[in-house]
Amino acid sequence: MKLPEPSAKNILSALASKSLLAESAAKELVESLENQKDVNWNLVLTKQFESEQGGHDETGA
Amino acid sequence: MKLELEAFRGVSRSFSIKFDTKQNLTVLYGENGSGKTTISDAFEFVIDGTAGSLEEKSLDGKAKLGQLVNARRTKADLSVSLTVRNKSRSATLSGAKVQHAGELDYQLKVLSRKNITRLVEEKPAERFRRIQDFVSIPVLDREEAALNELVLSEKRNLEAQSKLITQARDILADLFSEHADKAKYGDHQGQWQKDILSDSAETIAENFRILQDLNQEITRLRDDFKPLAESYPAIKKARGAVDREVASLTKLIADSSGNLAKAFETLQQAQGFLKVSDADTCPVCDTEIGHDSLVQKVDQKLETLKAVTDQSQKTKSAQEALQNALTAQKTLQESFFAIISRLNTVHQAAVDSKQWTLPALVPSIVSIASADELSEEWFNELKAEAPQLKPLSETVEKEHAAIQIRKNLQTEIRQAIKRIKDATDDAKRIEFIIKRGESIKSVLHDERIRHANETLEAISGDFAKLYSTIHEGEKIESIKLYLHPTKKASAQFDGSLFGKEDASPVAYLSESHLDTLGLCLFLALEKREHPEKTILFLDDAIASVDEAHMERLYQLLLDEASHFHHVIISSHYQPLRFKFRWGILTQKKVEFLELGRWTLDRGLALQKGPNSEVKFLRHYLEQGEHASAIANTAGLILEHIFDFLTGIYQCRLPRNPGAEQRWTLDHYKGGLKGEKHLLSSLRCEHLNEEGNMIKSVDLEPLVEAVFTRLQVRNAIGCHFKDLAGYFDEIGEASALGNATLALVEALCDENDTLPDRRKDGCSWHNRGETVTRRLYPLLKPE
Repeated sequence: MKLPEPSAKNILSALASKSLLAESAAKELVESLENQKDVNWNLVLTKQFESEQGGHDETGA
Repeated sequence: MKLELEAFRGVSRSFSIKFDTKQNLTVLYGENGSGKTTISDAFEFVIDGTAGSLEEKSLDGKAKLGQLVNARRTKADLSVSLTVRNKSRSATLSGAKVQHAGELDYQLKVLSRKNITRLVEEKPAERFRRIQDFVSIPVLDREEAALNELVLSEKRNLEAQSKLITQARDILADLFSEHADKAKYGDHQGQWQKDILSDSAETIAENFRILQDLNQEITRLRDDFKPLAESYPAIKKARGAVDREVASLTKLIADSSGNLAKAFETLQQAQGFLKVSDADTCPVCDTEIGHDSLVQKVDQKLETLKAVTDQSQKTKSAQEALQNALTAQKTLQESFFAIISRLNTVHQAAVDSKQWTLPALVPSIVSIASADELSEEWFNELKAEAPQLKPLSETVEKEHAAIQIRKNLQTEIRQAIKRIKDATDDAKRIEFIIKRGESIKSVLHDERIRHANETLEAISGDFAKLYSTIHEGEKIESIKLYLHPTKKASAQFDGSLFGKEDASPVAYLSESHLDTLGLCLFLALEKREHPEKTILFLDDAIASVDEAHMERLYQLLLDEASHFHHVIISSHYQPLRFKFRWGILTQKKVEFLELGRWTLDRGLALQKGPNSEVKFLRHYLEQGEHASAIANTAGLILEHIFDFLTGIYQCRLPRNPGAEQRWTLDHYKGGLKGEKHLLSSLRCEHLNEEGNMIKSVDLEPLVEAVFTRLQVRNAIGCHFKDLAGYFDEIGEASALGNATLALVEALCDENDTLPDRRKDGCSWHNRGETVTRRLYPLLKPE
């Protein structure tokens, strides 16, 4: 079963409301989930860490 | 939809069965052992390539697919094909594998009673496993697991970083404890570290180099001291040797006369001549000489002259040795002077750096200006002053060691501090990944659970609705299926039953209730995933349902069947057969198929209606030769007719039909006669094509005519041949046959088909567009 439509929306919304991932990273993540691609969580979280440490979003958001 | 079987399980001869998919539901009735499960297995074999019901049986280790082959046939004979809407798929066995050909657009779901029971009764985790395809989002499951793995791995990593920090801190504490001046620093390890690290690496390196140079020159001075010391007496000794050898040579020369060299040469020539000549006369002056004494004298002279030569050589050697000793000393002196010069320079540099309080160098070292000044006297002066160099040497060594320690300390402290910083930075990143990873995991988890519970809620709502349709008014307030909030992959069944909250249906409901519950759950689940592409096969799935609930259950199944491409229900339940066979329950969108008795020779077969036998009866009656065939065929037709009549009027028949699970003609007779007003009210109207009644036939006399001759069938047609020959067999058989035909002609239409429809709501009538037979009454008269 693919990612149901409300799930993508719900995940994006939860990630944004809890400020867990930058918007662009969250979109990228949901896109991976929708396309059944493996997520490199280490990379996603390390980028997010660096982004928060550096005070800017390296992904361009 | 057509299923064709060859050499599959109980199918010894080719068998095919057509399902009318214009109807939503097919009821496939068959007594135990008639082949219902064989048909369900064939569906599974041809669509999924499995051994169907054999899959969950042990078979004592034998290959399951191989066991699908009919006992009298070979593996190569086996084939199953299914045709649905002009598309076919077939399956054969090749070795131990299934070979498929063709694809269908439909999936098959088979539900047996065993699976229903499991769905309800098994543990929540197992139950979840069965329903997870319907409720889970695999990509979220997978990513949640991946994230969880990362978080666990990072937690281990964090622990390792924490250990590294502790180890580095221990190292710093140990260094402080071992090297710090406690009087100065007390417990202030930080200040000590700060002070240690305050010297720049360049300063330490420079100081270290100065002291290392100084130390090196002192060492070299010490090393070269002895060779130089030894050179002075060696020179003295060589001079003495030269003097002695010269004196000896002088003396030898004085003892010799004349030109020594010339004499020596002459004597040597004389000695040569005398060796080859034995004359006693001198070859020059002819003086008489004694040869032997001359030889002796020449030898003596030569011996004397050789000693001079040898001494001369010794003298020369002694002079060379002296020269060599002088040269070596010169080299040593130059080298020693270079050391002294370097020592002076390095010492001055050390003094100038003001890093240390260094003892001064001795005067003999400071005052020397060139290598030529390194005389024995100077050396003796240095030798006398040498002890004064010891404090300098000790100071340099001590300071050198101290600076080496400081250098090492700095390195170790810097490394430890760097390790702490790196590990702390890493720990910060890891803590972020753990915390954020867990938060994101929680988002995925919540979404997964939300989706699953939403799905389950929808399913629960659906199956609870289905269930309450069957068990209306039984105080089963609610039954729900939901995911356990904390246990992963655990599907819980709870409900409000009989006024009790959180009751487990398994504990409170009867077996038949659990069966219907499981069936409702199964239907609710299967409706989620493309039901229009699904063929459902309920294989004896509702055997335990009592008659009281059956009508509602089948009404429910009929309603639900419209969601699916087709639903097939197989059953061996006699009341069900009656209700569907004769349209008591419903005839709307239902096809009824009945399997005949299975035999080893014939294999599976469909039960045929009376029309298939009537033409034979007519034929046998025309021949008038075979009493047994007439009686037997009449018996089969009567079984169908009486089965029909007792079925539609719900006559009471024995609960236990007997060993063969089939009612006999006597049972049917008892059933029909047991209804007080039934036989007398049976009437069949014959209508023309315009729908006008041609005649009305009372059936009672015709039925009674048959009843009076039933024993003939027993006597001639089948079981009791003891009476054979005691009466007019062909006459009696023909009478039975004619009575049977009369009943058939009164009751059945032109195709000898029974009036088993009741669409008009007032009578039982024949199938087809034109109604030519109407049987009354519609209901059994009370």
